[in-house]
Amino acid sequence: MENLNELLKMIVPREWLFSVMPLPSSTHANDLDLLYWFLIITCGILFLLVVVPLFLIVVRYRRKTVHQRAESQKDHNFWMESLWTFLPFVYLAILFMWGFLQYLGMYVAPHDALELRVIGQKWQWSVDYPKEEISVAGVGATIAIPINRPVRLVMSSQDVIHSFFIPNMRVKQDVVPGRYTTLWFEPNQLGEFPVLCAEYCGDLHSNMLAKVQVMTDDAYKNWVEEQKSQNQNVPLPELGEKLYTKLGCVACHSTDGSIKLAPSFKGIYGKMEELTSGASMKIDDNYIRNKLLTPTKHTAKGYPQIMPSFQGRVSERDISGIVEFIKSLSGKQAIEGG
Amino acid sequence: MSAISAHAGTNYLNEKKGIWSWASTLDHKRIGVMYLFSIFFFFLIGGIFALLLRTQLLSPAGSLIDAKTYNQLFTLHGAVMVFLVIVPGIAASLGNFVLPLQLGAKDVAFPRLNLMSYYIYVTGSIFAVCSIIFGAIDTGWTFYAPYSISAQGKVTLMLTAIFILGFSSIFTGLNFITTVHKLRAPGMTWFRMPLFVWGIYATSILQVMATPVLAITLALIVVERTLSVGIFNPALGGDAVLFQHFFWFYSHPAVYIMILPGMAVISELVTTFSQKKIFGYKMIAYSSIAIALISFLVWGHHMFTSGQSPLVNMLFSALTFLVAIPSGIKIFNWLATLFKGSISLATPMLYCLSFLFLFTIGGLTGVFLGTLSVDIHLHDTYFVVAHFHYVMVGGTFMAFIGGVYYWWPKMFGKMYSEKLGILGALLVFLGFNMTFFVQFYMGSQGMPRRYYNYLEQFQTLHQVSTFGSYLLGVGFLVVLINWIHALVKGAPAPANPFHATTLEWTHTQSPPITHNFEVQPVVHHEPYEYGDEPHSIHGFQGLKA
Amino acid sequence: MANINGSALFPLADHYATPEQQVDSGKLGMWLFLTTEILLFGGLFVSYACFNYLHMDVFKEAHKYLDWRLGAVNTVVLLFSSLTVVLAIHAAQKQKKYLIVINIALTIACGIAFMAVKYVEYSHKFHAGLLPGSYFTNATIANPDQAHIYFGIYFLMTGLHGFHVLIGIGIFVWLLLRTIKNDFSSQYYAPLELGGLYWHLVDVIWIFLFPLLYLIS
Repeated sequence: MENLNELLKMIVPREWLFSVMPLPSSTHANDLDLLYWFLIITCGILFLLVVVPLFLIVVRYRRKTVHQRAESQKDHNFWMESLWTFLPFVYLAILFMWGFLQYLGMYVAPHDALELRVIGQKWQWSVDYPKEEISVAGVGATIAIPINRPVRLVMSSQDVIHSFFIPNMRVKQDVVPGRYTTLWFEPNQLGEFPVLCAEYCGDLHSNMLAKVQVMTDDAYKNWVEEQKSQNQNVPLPELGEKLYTKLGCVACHSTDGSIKLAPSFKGIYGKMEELTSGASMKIDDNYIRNKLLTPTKHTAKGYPQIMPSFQGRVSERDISGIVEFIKSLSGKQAIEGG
Repeated sequence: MSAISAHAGTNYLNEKKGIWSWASTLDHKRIGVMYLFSIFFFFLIGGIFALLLRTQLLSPAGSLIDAKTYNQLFTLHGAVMVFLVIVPGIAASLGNFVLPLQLGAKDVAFPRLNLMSYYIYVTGSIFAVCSIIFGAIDTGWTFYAPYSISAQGKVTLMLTAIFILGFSSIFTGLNFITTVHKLRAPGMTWFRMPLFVWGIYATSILQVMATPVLAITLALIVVERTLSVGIFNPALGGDAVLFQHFFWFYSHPAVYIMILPGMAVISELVTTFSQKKIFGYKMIAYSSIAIALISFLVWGHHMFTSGQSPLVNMLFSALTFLVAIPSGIKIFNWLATLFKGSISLATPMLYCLSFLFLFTIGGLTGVFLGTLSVDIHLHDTYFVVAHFHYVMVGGTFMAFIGGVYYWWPKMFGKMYSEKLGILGALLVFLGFNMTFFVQFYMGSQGMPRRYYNYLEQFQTLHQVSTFGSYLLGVGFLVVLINWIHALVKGAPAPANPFHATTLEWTHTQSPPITHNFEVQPVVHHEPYEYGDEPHSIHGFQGLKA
Repeated sequence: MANINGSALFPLADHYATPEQQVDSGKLGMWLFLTTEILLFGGLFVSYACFNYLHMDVFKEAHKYLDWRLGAVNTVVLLFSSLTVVLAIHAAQKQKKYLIVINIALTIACGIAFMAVKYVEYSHKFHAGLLPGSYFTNATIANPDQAHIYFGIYFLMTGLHGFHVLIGIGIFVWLLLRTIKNDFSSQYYAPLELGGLYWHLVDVIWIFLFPLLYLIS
């Protein structure tokens, strides 16, 4: 038995072993898994109640001779029919009540929850910590939270409908443009847990990953401090590079010359870009600024017109940082004019 | 002694020959056969899309095809299978062929409208094919706003195709309802109709009442794309979730349009292949109508995580559980029919048994999804994908194949190979379970839908599923080969090879003459009488003693 | 296409046993079709209700730009045309061909009049820039950046209805031609009844549209 366990552990990580659900890591999860197992067992029994008699009937009453008739033509049985109408009704009523009450518990967040603001966009998550004045963003971003403390997410989308899904916490909520939706949970396991987008949103829907990292209180405080210091007084080109990932430019613009969905940033500063109108325009500081704030004003020919506006999301310093970053990919110094 | 003996004389297939005689036919049997061929053709196309996307999923970060192509494949697999195969499905093909025969009628109420329905279907399918060729869409078959408003590809063209196909569905439903009301044989009261007719009737109610809402919903997306009106687009003051309400108001009844005909076929198979009167006839009939009506009230269970209020979620959860009860009643009634029957394991019956097994799993997993808190975890994961494939393929499609095998001798006057039939049924059953059962587990573990790449830990299960899909594909190929072989070289079929009791078997030859009946049948009793009392004009008494 | 149970006066199709069966089937079929139309427009009425609730002040303001008098004229015109349809059927029952022709012609005339008034209303909106979505250019209305929603719904609902009126006109032109060719008699006038049913629905939908769009404040 020991050897079998060791063998299995080598093939399958603990979380997936013999458990139908991923490692329960929130207070919701423990309750939900109980209901889930109830469903598995009772539906399993119901399944057997259909399939076993089916098998037995087919074997026992199999037609052996070509002209064999049925043994009976009885087509009513009041008690059986009542039973199989009434009992499922009771069973389903129980499930409904249990599921609904559990859902209500998942819907109403406690007062003292740590509040985070989430923005979904094609194709990454950004999370702001309003009280701590830090934020994380990008594919694979780490969203740290302290253990045993409820956290509430207030979410909306920049563009299309996304859905914030943390399987280990058993929470999911659509992230919709034009309004806020919320979810809450209380993590009770330390560790890293995947965050997935669960509403199809386009090309890189399956790439829209992040992770929730549940830490001890102290570790969390340290992490917050680290995030704060990272954002201060960063040199402009470095700031630009950070924003390149954080704001999601990386999804469409490469830095190595390859074409994704938009022109590559490599070597682009100072070049002439052909616009859809037929005119040509120099890619300089003003061009970049305009593209960030009003992207539909001048559009590059031959590319899909899908760039969103960053109006309100980038400060003046941010714009300067992005300009310097793009310049750095063309080998120009910050001092040289554009 | 069977009522009509087989004879290789004039029948609806050979009375008039040539393409024009088929293209201008008003005969419901020919129209049904044309639908059958078209529907299976599109099933092949939709199936190939599925095999391609499953192949991509063999590795977690695979790049057999790029992400956009993958997204197009799952979109088109869904759109083709839903709108070109399963919604017309059993009703347009078997329903057209069998319904008037079972009612003792010469044709449907509006034969010209029937032919027009078929041509509308063909037109819609041409638009759909053009959309696929000239700009495959990647919105998902559900076209959620706002993504579908600005998505690339020939979205408007595909929406127009579906709009057109909707009319085919509406006119077919309208035709069947009128036929059932007005063209029943003398003596055939409502409760003397075969249960297949009840199932098709309930389906037709849904087709007539639900499809117009789809038409308006799709038209609104087209208007949004072309005129930027701002109904669903939040950037223009619209509401994105409103689209979901409109869309699912049709699409939930649509899934019952898909399953009710399947259940209708199963009622016929269960009684014929056990030579026993159907248990609880009236309950099955009433259940069909109940399912049709309640199905209009549960659309919100597709939207539990959309941000709608807990009160709304509660109502939809409760109603969803309610609609499960009539389906459960049917399963138990069918089981009770088989009890103490004389059970034959001919190919149609193998598919009937498959249905009972697979639909039970599909239905029970629907119970998981109706449970609010559990659905929050399972929504938009592979659990849902597995659930709907179990009910639509394991349910409806098994019934479809079973029905085609069952009525095959009547439709074409030929028998098929039982050996190939058994082989195909086995491969399909095994392949199907291998493909989709693991997906329940994957969904519980958090594997989301519509994912081009996925987390590494899911690889083994994805590979099992993909190999299962190949096996399933082989199974369907065996079925196809069996049918083609039967058409070309099948043995001549008797009028009533399975000793059934409904009018299409007892009062017509195989294949039937163009006018269906030599003499207008008159009905004196309920269907499915296998006992000793003399029945029908020709004294048919089920199996000979 | 008469079968042996029919007569020269009633073209009985092959698969029907009696004229009554055929006429009843036709009526049931038409009623079912009308149900689908009600559901089609129902979707739009629901959209209207949703947006009215979400943007009540915008809707209140925007609807003032609709001229209720023109709407009232159209209502009277359609109601009158429903009357002429009934009279045409009555005339058919009495086998008075000239009366059928007159009444159908009046119905067609009413349909055309309705479309003419619609044309006047639409061109006013075009001139004033009161158009749906991105085509909205009116500057004087109270909430210009939201009013386009109202006009989007307005044009959709009245446009779809107008499209159905046009189809109705086409149907009655066909019925007029058939009447002139002596296709109908006191034994057989089912197509007139079916066309009439369709026209009544078009009228009923307008009866709901008119107060909703023009009158409610």
